Amino acid sequence: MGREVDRLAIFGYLALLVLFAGMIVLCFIWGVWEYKKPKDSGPLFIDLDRTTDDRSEERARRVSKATDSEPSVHMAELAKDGIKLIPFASSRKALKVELSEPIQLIAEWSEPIQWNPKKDETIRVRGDVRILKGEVISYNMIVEGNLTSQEDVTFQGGLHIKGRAIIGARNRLKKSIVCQKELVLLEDVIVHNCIDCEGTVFIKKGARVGIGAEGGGIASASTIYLEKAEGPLKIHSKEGVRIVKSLREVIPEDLKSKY
Amino acid sequence: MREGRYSRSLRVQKLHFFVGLAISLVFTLLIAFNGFNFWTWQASVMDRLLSFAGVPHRLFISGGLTEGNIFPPLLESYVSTDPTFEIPVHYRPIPSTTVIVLLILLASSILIVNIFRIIPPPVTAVWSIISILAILTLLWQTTVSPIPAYTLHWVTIDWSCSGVINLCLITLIYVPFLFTIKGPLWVKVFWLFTAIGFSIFWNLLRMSLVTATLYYLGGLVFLLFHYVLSAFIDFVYIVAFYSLALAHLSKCEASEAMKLDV
Amino acid sequence: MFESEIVLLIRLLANYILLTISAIMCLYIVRHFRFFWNRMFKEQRRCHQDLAGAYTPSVSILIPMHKEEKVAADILERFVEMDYPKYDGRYEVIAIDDGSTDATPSIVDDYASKFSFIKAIHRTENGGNGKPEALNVGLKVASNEIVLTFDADYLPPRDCVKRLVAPFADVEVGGVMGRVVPVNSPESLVTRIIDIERAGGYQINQQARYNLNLIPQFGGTVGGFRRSVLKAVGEFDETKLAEDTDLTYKLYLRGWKVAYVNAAECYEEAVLSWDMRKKQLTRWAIGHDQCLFEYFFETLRSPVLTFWQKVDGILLLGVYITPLLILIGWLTGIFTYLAGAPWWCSLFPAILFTFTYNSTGNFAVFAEAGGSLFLDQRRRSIWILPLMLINLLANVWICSRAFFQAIFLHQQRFEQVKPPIWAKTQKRGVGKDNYNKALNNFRNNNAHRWNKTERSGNGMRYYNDMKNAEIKRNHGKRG
Repeated sequence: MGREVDRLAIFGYLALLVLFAGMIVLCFIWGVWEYKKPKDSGPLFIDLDRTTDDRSEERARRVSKATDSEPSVHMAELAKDGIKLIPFASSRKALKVELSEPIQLIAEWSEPIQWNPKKDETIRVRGDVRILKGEVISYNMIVEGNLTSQEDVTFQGGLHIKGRAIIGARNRLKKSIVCQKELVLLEDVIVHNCIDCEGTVFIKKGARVGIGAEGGGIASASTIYLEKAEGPLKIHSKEGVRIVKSLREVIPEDLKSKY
Repeated sequence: MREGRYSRSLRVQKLHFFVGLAISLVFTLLIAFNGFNFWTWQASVMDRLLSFAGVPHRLFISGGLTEGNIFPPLLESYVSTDPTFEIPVHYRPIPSTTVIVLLILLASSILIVNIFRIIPPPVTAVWSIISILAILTLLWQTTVSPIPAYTLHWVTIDWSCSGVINLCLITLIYVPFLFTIKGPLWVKVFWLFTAIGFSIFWNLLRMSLVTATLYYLGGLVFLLFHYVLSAFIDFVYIVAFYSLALAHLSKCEASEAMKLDV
Repeated sequence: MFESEIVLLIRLLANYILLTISAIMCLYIVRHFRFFWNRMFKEQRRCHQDLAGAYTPSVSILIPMHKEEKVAADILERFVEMDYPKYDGRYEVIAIDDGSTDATPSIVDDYASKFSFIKAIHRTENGGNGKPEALNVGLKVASNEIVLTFDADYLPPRDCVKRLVAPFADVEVGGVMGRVVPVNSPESLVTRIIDIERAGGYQINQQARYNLNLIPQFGGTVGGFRRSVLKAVGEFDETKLAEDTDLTYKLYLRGWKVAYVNAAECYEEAVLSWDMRKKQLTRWAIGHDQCLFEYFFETLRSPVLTFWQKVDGILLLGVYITPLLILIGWLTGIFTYLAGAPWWCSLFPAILFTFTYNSTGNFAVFAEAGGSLFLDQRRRSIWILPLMLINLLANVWICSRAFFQAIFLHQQRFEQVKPPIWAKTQKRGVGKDNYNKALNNFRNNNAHRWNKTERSGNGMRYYNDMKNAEIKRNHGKRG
């Protein structure tokens, strides 16, 4: 059983086929055009000679950068005159500070430590932590809560606090502290490497930051309030660095009670 | 100051987004309440194209569906059918020897393209996938279903083949992923409607071509053709026009940045 | 129409498979769109980059090299010029000549003799068995706190190391990953497609995962770890083809994080031809699937991961399975279409599901690629997007085949590991010997999988041409 097909009509079918194929090809034409006659074949430009000082998109308030070979001279100068900042970044007015949430009473860490972690080990603690006076913490700590330390505590490892942290007077942090909410450093705290905080940072007088061999600095996604401080080689704050005569002018009542 | 590419994020163009959303909503409502008219228009254009292609057919437009909502309950959509085409289908069973030969040829071709490294992987991939689909279709037609599985009615026309859903889908994709990007509104609206226009034309051609293929090349090729062209490659033009739109917006952004630098 | 109960069952099964695949693909659609939105419009995390340059811990850089005479000098030169304090042993570059038979050993020795911070290791015996092994050898020599790894064809800028080490100020960070950018993108269609793929993968995907506190992945190069963490998790697994994915999961399952540094960009040489692309992709897919088999349940049960990290972790493990799912979806779709549908499920959903995940799902990946090119201000490269369809088809086929090869390999590895376990139980003290024997067998049988990627060595040439063009363009602007 055959059928008679109009030969001319087949051309109509072929025309439809060609037209449809043409539409498919059309979708690729500009891609092929760019491939054959490229105007942006790449690569993406990366200046191989750039350094971290060349960052043009930073809106950082930079301090005068001490060289690695002469830290003590610059620290002395900084201690004498306070932090040298770009003028518009400093303010002596007391500003109202709003905390992310009201501070709560921190519970005592009642259970004794059962293990004996070694140096370079990292422990993760769920809940709030309070370190008593004179303790030496030899390991790294990740605290999924708030941290308070009393006076003269030594942290030989690094700290990562998911809540807020109050570091007591004359504490010594041999590495860095990363904090996701507010951070308060009381008198004469020494941080050998970095402070990186997503919330507001309050630094009382005598604090020294970045004096370790690896260097360091302070960075905050919010505001940094400083009394006198020495040591930081680099400060970066998204919302400004303010020098105040006393932190009492700016620190909220809830945190004041922790002095 | 210009942000570096590693840290910048764009501002969401909220106004443009809402404009796009409004366009999308209006469009969807238009399709919903005028779908039957749209489908009738498509059928009449298809009628002419099928005549051009020499496919004997009859078009029935009896106005069975009330003008109104095109989305009846699901089961009914395969009962209410107008417009309808009727096309004589000359079914010829494929001889079993031909089937076996075809199967062997297809299977061998899959092996060959995969063994010889000289054939680039994309070609291997396309050939392998289409061959497997062809093998499945062939096997099904000859072993399980000796006659086409569907009624003449379904094979010819159904509003769900019209591609009307594509039009809504294009607006749904383009609105959040194009209208939110920084750039002039007219560029976005232009490319959205260009893609919609292309889609209408694409679907007309597709339906006519697939129907004509049924007449000229028979059920096996038709089944494969219909599936591949319906479900497979629609997103080719969606991506193509999206890329043009995005490139245009990027050009506008670059021009604006140059003005600021100057 | 002839129809038996079996046919009816098969039809039902096909419909269920199609629905399941569509549901899984919907998850990936949502994931990709979420990443697109986050990267394009939300605030970007900068992972301690504000401290980049200020914090400089001691660092060891491992560069495995197997017949890399064309590129060895370029990368070593880059590390000589690296802006990083080099005194007191705080910076060391360990070039591992992994059984090279070309001029690589002499190039490495030359640099080691000129610069005290460059160390050369020559593996004349047992060399060329894969990158993980070479890295482990280098790790034994590395003495500094942070270990970074770079492939030999990479060209890092002078600030790269400072940017990569900055996140390690955070004790929670165990690993870091930078951004890889192909330098030879003009060379062929493959390189251009890879360029776009990388852009989407890093600029959008990795950054969004980091922003959302999910699981950004260590990619094997332009990245690194704390040495103590690396030793704690067992170093680089020599039986895995994707030791980078393996390490990422080991870190996360033990409570560490990986930081993604978008600003730490580094040039690489992308593969030039489809054949090489196929080999590379096969290796990645097999390796990734190996990790899927190993870490799927562990990720689900992990007490340290958050809910969304678990979800993202599972989806990440399945990334090289999705091409296979797409293929099965296409095949099941046509079967459903041919077979007709049971009463509850008409033809329309069969085509709709395939269309939806095919169009919208695949579009999601294209949107990511397009978005990344937009952010990079690569206007004309966006036109190449439709050609990515070729890549998609190739990926579907290559990754589908790789999945079955991964199953075979997984079985092989399991068989080889079995003897040492019961040998140890018998307390003959031969466990370690048996394991080493099994490991050697595994390496010999699978050495071809670590296929050597041919280098053109044109990286610096492309960079110099581009830099000159950039200078001219800037000069023209000022003029």
